[in-house]
Parts: sequence; C-alpha cells; structure tokens
Amino acid sequence: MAGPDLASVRASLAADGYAVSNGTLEQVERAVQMEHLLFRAQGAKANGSVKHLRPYITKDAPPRSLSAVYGLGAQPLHTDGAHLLEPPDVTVLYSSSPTPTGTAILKPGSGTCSTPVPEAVREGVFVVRGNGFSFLASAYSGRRFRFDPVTMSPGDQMARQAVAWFQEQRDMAVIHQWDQEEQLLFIDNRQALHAREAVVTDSETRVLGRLSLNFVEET
Amino acid sequence: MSLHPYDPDRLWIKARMFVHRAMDDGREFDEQAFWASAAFELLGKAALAKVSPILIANPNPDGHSLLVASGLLEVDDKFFTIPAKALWSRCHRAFKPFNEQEAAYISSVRNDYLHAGGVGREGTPEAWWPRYWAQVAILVSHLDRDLEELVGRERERVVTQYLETNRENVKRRAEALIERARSRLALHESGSMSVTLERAWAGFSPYYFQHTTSAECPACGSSGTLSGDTVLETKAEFVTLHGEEDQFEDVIVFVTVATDGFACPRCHLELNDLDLIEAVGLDTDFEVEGDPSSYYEPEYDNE
Repeated sequence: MAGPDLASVRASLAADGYAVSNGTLEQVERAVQMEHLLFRAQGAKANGSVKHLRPYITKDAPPRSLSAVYGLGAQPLHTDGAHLLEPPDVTVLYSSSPTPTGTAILKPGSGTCSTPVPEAVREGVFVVRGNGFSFLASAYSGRRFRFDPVTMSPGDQMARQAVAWFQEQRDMAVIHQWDQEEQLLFIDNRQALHAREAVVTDSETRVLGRLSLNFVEET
Repeated sequence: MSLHPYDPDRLWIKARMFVHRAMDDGREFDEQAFWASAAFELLGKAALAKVSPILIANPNPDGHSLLVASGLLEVDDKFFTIPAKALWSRCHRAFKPFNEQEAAYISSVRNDYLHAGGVGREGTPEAWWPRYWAQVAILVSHLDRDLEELVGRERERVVTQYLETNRENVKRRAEALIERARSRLALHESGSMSVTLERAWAGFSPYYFQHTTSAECPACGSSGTLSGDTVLETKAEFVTLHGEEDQFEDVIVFVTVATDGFACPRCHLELNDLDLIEAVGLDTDFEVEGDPSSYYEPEYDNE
C-alpha cells in the first residue's frame, strides 16, 4: 500500500475541510518527510508524535478532556489543541479496522453549513485554560477556528452566543464512517471542527491514532 | 501569540472582553461603567505599550518592571504597571487630543466601584457614555484599529450615536461658554455686576502654557491668547545677514505647537479643552518663533 497522496489530500482539505485516504500514520509521517513542501510535523518532534485515543467514561477520563465532561456520549464540535498558543493546522485520525462510532466534521460557511459565520464567533472573547497559564482568544481569528467548550470559557455575551451557535451547527456536520481497514481522516483544524459521535458498541475496542501536522504555507 | 503581560495585543483583547461585558444585556449602569472604565485603562496601556512597553512599566526603585519590559529579565508575576494618574498623563502628552481630565473622570468610576464604598455612578448614562466613547475613540485610533474591531459591527452603531451626541454636547457647551462670557462682559462694562462677580472678575488670572500666540476671541472679538506646551514640529531657517563691513549667518527657528488653552483678557473667556477650542473655531495648533540658541555651536574657548 502506497499511502496517502498528500497533494490531493491538501486539495481536499482546502475544498471540504477534510480528506479521507487509505494508509497508516507511519506512511503519513514518511510522506510528510519526503514531500516537505506541503506539510510539516507539528512541534519539535518529527516522529513519535502519534497519540492513541480511546473512549473513556467520565470518571476515568483525563482532566480537561472532552471525555471528562461528555464520557461516551456525543462530543461537541471542537478544534484540536485549542488550549495551545499555536494549535496544529491539521489533525490526522487513523483507524486500523472498521469501528461503528463515526466522526462528525463541519466546515462552517461551506457545504451543509453554508450560513455565514456570525459576528459573535469572531468577536466573542473566551478565557482559554492552557497548560499552566490562561489566555484570551476568540473562536475565529487570524483565519482559523479555535474552539473547545471544555478548555474555553465564554468571557462575554457574544462568546456565549458563539457556544450556542456551534451547538446548533452540530446537526449540519458530515459524518465520517470508519468502515474500512487502514483508514485515514485528515481534518483542516483551522477551517473545520470535528467531534466524535456517541460511542455505539465499540467502547472497549475503538482506538484511533492521531497525528498533528502544520501546513507549509505557499510562498 | 505572546504571553508578555505588556503585549499590546493581549491588552487589546482583554479590553475587548471588558467592553463587551459593559455592553452586554442585563447589566445595570453601575456595572457597565465599571467594566467600561476597566477596559479604558487597558486601552490606554495598550496604546502606550504599542509605542514601547517601558511606557507602562512601573518605575519602582529596583527597576524590576522596567527591566522586564526591556526584555532584560524574564516575565514573572512581579511585573507591575504604572498607576492611572501616570497613565493618563502620558496618554495626554502622547496621543492628541486625548484629554487627561476626562480620563480621570471616567476612571474615577472604576476606582470608586472597586476601592471605596460608592457604587461608582457619577452622572447619568446619557451624559457618561458620550464622554467615554470620545476618549476611547482617540485611543483606538492610536492603536491603528477601529471601533468595529473593539465592539463588533452591530454595536458600532450604538457607539457612533454616542460620539455624535458628544459632538453636539461639546458644541452646545462651547456656545454656552461664549454666551456666558458675553453676558459677563456686558454686566461688567455697564457697571451692573454684583460685588461677588466683580471680585471674581478682578481675580481673573488665566494659566498660559509655554508657547503663546494671539487669536481673535470668539466671544468678544478682542485679541486673546492661544497657548500650548507640546511642540509638534521645529523648522530652522538659515539666513545670511549683511552688516556694514561683513556678513554673518543667523538662524531663525519656527515651532508648531499643539494648542492647550485659550484665554481672553477682555471678556475673560477661558477654554482649556481641545474639543471646545475646536468647536469655537480656534486653531488646534499654531506656529511661533522658537529659541535659536540650541542651533548655535557652543564656544570652546580654545585657541
């Protein structure tokens, strides 16, 4: 298996906010190293940055995680690394085998969610609880979304309206089904939000690998 | 994104959040004014920090905050900023036409609300907000931003209305001051002024700033005095003067000064607010001859 074609992945991310491909995260990492003009690894580590995501019931979940609040239920739409000063541009999720719980993806302003992003999302200010410090940020700024209702608390009325708007858009999301072997889901973490659906029957078996990437900007 | 406490972008976004809270539904005016004045202080600090973070660092004796703002020490929780009085004084000098007295009036609401037994309310919302937005608009423009970025598009309309109200209030106040000066003069010249008023009239002693020039009084038409402290521009003109037997170089210096006040010795009209000076049609800056001494080379007394 050759792994993902990063050029077509990047084109799909630009158009739809997500891309689906066959392959493994190791293949993605190798392809990124070879085609370094498209993506680069997020953070200092080029390798070994794969995380494994499992469903947790509330009491077993890591603090400040979505699972700590929502347990095995449907998660709210969010972006990854919202608590970081520099969140990753792209989240790559991987499943080695089919698993019944899907992943919701929403790119506001396009496709099934064609309503314009409201002013409250751009203007509302959130308190973001980062790693050892807090800072203020809007849910859309600098041409990227930053939203996680667990690590971000609304600081004003518009931020509360933004939270409500993201909740309302949940039904507009596209649902990706993990119905194939060795499947990769690339999500543009700047322009799209995602969320795990409510865990169906795979709470003991569902394991997704996750890799974070950044775009290499065209010059 | 920087985590420096003096980073103007961090101060800006915090000011945005506080202004939003001030404009959110369901708050009483006391609380609105508290959040608004807290935002105002942050905007002042952001505008100064944009020029240099040192301008907002508290100059405590060990210089800790100054050293942090200079980048010579790591950021820690002992970085303190200047008090409001120093903040408004610096903004007044740096960001024309920012008004220090108006700023003190606005921020007194916050002080009273936070540090005293009062609830922070002074005046009515209808009187307070126009004056508030007039000063905020000045700081926002010095941050190279606009009011829509601060409050959002929908709420900008509310702010624009307050600014318009402020302009009308200033115009009405200017007209009232002119009428008052005319009526006082008429009473004085007709000899029908009360003893108390006559005593006050005799004690008229306006404050003149360093640079002065004459200007026609908008109330009585006599010659009054514009004065100001801040030199906006200095121009030097070198001229050759011809004596009877030789010629020599001389320099004439012209300075453009920002107007701080106007006073008329005849009708006793006194204006110390740039908005009022502008509203009555007086110049907001003027040119005068400056001191040429700084252009002369000192004598070294060497052979």
